[in-house]
Amino acid sequence: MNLNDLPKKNIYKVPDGYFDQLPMQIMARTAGKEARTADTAYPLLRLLRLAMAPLVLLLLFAGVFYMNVQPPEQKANFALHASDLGNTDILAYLNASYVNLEPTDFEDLHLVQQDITSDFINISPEMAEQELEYYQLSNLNY
Amino acid sequence: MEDKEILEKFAHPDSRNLAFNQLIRKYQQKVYWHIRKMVIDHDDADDLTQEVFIKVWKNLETFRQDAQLYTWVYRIATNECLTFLSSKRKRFFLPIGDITAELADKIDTSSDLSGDDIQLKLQKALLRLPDKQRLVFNMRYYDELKYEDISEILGTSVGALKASYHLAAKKIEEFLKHD
Repeated sequence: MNLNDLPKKNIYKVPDGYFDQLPMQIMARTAGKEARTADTAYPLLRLLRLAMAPLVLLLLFAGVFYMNVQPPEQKANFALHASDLGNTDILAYLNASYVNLEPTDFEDLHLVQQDITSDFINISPEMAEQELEYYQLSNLNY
Repeated sequence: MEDKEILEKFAHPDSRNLAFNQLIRKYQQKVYWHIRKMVIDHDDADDLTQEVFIKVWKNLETFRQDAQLYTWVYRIATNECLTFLSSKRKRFFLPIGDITAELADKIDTSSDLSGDDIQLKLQKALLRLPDKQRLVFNMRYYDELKYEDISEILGTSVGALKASYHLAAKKIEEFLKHD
């Protein structure tokens, strides 16, 4: 068989409209590469942009550190104000905060501060009733 | 648009995109079919065609105008094909015979092929040729390029190309006769 006897035919096919879309696809890719090339044309700007990332991170960490670490005088002021608070203020705060106190909470407290909790834990039922009536705690609904 | 006009417009930033679009439209089919006949698969040919034009875009400013634009584009496409086929063999540790079988299988199973049995058989016969000989055959037989242009594309002498084509044609005719 001679090759010249065969008709020259392209047997391969492409999807419909392939050659209409191909230039656009290639142009889109070259546009992306051109943008990146423009970036590299300004090395100072590129360096500045690279330096911005660690700077922002550093500022973020500094901010978080400052928010979490209180200065010693601020802590002392808090302790001073806490000691001025009366029982009424504390109870009012607990009521307003909707805190459910259980006997175990007082037991935990007992382990930490002996002299405060001993009054609470050894209280007689009569005294407790009186306290409830005084602060009208028995009428509270949660 | 003539190549010279495309190159002149490409040299000016204002008309660069327009010129490159014209260049793609002028050469996309030649480049695609040149690649497709080598790699058989459409997706591979599509990827490689895009890569060829990206390379053209990047290097067109340095293109020396003593060469013809289309032979320069063909040379980039040819190199892309050879690199692709070579890396495919290396990646899968395939000997030449295996990649031939894989491409032949694509011809048998691909839905985006048309043609009678003898045309399919011719394509499979071509796959048996070494890559460079297949390139020479395709450029001469299908694209009907002059030997001088093929010589410029492949960097091979015209005499060697004629011998290579003659040998390829004989091998194919033998294959078609016996198989």
